[in-house]
Amino acid sequence: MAAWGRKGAGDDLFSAQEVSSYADGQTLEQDQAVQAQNRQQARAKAEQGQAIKRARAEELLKVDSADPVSSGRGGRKRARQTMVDDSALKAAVASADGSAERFAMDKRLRSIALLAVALLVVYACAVLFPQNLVTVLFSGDAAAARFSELMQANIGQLGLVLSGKAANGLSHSSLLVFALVGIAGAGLGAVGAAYQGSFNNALASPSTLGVMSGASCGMVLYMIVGAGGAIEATRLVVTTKEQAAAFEGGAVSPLGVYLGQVEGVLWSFVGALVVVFLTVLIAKLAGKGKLGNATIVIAGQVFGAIASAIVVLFRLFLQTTAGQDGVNALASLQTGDFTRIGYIYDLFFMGIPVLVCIGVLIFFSGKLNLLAFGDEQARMMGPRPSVLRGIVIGVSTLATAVIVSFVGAVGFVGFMIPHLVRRVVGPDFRYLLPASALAGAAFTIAVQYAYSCIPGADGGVGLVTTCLGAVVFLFAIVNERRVPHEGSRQEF
Amino acid sequence: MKVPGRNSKQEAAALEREAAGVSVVPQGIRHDQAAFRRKTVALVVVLLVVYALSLCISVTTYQVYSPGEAVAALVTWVQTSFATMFQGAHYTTVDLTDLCPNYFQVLDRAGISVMAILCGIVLTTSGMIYQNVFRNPVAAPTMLGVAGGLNMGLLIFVGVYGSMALYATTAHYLFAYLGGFFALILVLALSRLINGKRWFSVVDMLLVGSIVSQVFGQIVLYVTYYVFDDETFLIYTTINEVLQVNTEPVAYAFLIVGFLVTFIPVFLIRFRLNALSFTETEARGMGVDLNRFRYVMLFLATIMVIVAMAHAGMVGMAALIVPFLSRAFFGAESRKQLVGNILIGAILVLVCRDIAALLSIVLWKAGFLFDFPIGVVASLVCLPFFVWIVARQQRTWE
Repeated sequence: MAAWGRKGAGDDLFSAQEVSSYADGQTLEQDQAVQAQNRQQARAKAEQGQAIKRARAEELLKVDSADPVSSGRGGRKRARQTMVDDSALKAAVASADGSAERFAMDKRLRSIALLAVALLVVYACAVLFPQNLVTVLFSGDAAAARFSELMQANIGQLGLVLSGKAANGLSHSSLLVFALVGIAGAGLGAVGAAYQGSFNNALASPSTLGVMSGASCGMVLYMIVGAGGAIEATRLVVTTKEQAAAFEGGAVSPLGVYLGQVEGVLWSFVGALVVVFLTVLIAKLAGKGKLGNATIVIAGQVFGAIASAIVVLFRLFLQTTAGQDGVNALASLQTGDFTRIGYIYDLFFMGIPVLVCIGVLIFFSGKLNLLAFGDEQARMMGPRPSVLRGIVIGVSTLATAVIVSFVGAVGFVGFMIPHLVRRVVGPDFRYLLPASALAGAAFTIAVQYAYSCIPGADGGVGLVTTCLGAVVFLFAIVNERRVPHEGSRQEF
Repeated sequence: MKVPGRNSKQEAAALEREAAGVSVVPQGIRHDQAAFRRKTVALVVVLLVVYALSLCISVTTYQVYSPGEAVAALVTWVQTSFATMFQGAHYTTVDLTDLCPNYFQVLDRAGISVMAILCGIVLTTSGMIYQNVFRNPVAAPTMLGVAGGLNMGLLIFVGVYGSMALYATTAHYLFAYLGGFFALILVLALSRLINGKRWFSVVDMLLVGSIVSQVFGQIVLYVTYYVFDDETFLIYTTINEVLQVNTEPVAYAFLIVGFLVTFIPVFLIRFRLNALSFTETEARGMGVDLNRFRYVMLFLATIMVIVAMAHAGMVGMAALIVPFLSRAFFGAESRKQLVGNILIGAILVLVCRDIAALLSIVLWKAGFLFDFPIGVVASLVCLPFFVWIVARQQRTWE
């Protein structure tokens, strides 16, 4: 009972568990063990309090970054030496704003595990459920029988594919298609979270820097210049007439035909990168070397507008010379179309680069947390913010360009998913980035499956993601009653 | 140090200051006014020259006339107008195309250029208001999603009217205006919904504006690609993206009404626009309720940009560029800014339309059957100015 007298270390020592252990009348050893544990916790809490005090003192005595003496390299090192340990500070700050209690470590990991399980469930459903679910469900009395029959057919097909005996191999099987769809969605979600972290702005999305307009611009230039006008455009990637004929005659290997088809994708990729490059160049011109946020967003909009205008011009040209067929490939690019992917080679050209980029982003996710403190504080705690931002934006743009070139402009996924996931997992990017990736994958697979159930709907899934995303996002924001604002000391 | 002689008062003052070692020579007010007048006159001259040149390009018949022909047509117009006014019906039986070839084309073109000038005035005034209200040099009127609203309105119009869309002018402009207006109301309502108390939060309006423009943009893309057939798609692109050459009186009526309704109030309270750069308390001290003033100005400015874009096409970037140019040229005071905006904006929009018209003629001669979209011209013309603005942004925003 001596524990009752020890109030100095804080009242929250006495949790319900400890009180009940006293009430049960434990042995002396157990009592002493519990007391030792309490003492340890008290020490930890006292240390945390000290850490908070130290952090606050540090802030008050903070080195002014405008001061030329202390803002050089020596100043940074000196400042870092007098700072407390990184993790203690983060823990102190995290507990100071209460997010550690709300989003305790195991709860966040549990949410991520739940998201992973949800992703697997959605993927399995999408692969196994019949493709025209709507017509099956509404076919009246025989619905259940038809459903199970189709599902058995799917399972049979799946077995064929897995054992390697299917006609096309792995290509265009629902297994691979939905895996690629999931990878694309994961990429978009992770990139959205990364953009929001590096711009420190809730309005950022993968389309901020004009990537989607750039991809359309590249594709339309390919259709005019690269393919030489001899386009037999299908809803898939653009194929030239010779290649289509050759494929049917078997004169070219599948990889060769694929590489011929993927040329248009390459042009879109280059177009997207060119637009982003111009945007970043202009933004750097403005800040004289530094990357100012508002400027880069506006520059992205301007160059995106120019790219869209060029697309309009060339689309007019194609429409009047080649007819509507000439613009079908452009249609699937500008409205988002998941039926464009499905070859086994897409896994190598799109799947693996996107997964690598997601991995890199998760690697840098811890450092992204520092950018939320504002540029000056972040400079003292880690790598230079401009370098970090450059790496993160560069990798994200690469991933977005790859995804958009293959799949088209599937907008809003990268905008909405991080906001929704943040309400579950909290603002810490070490959890937010993986969770956004998982949630993005699940969302995209679900949307694509639902969209493919609508009879006769190929492209245009971007419309569904945008409208659905807008509605969901507005609900979330209205419930939240506030919009996350930018950190201090950013230009705007 | 007074030098004996016939120094004017200003020169004497300047010499005095020089002797005292003051480096900055403050100009007198008369010097300011004289400089302002000179610049204004120069810009008006440039505008008239550009207008005269624009008369030589006819988009309806894809021809370029010589300035002599254009002048002859104008002179004929003046003569016939006077004749009809003073001497009644006698001269109206004359076949005007005998008097002067290309008479009607040049007259059409004169009207179109006047429309372009009005669009330029309205567009850049709204740009200036947006930059003053948001206090940010990169605020553009199109960021609240009204471009998307315009596109949606025209989409519905083309969907409803089909191939009659090219001839139904009244409905065209009605749908365009209503579409843009609807987008504005939507953005205001949503930002009010998000931000319970205060409507006016920069971040919220931008957020909602970007969402709305993305959603509307996607809807337009989907419908034009997958719901419309080729012909309707082409009609939509012709109406929306391509150079507008509508010479019917209804178009003029819409533009003039829109112009008067939005521009006259702004012109009347132009002196109060200076108050937008003050803080809330200072403005209240001057008798201006800043919040309400901001809402009203924003509303008017958005209607202005809807009017301009409905009649001139996708020239939204000019509203971003021109206020900066006029600030650089005229200084930051509101009255002079407004005059500078008007003149430079009129010149810019007219120049964009002329370039688009010339390129359309080139395309027509080369055998392609479409007009050049004005959005490309506007974007590419504004691009070097935008780069210049952004490179000079280290200057403090005043």
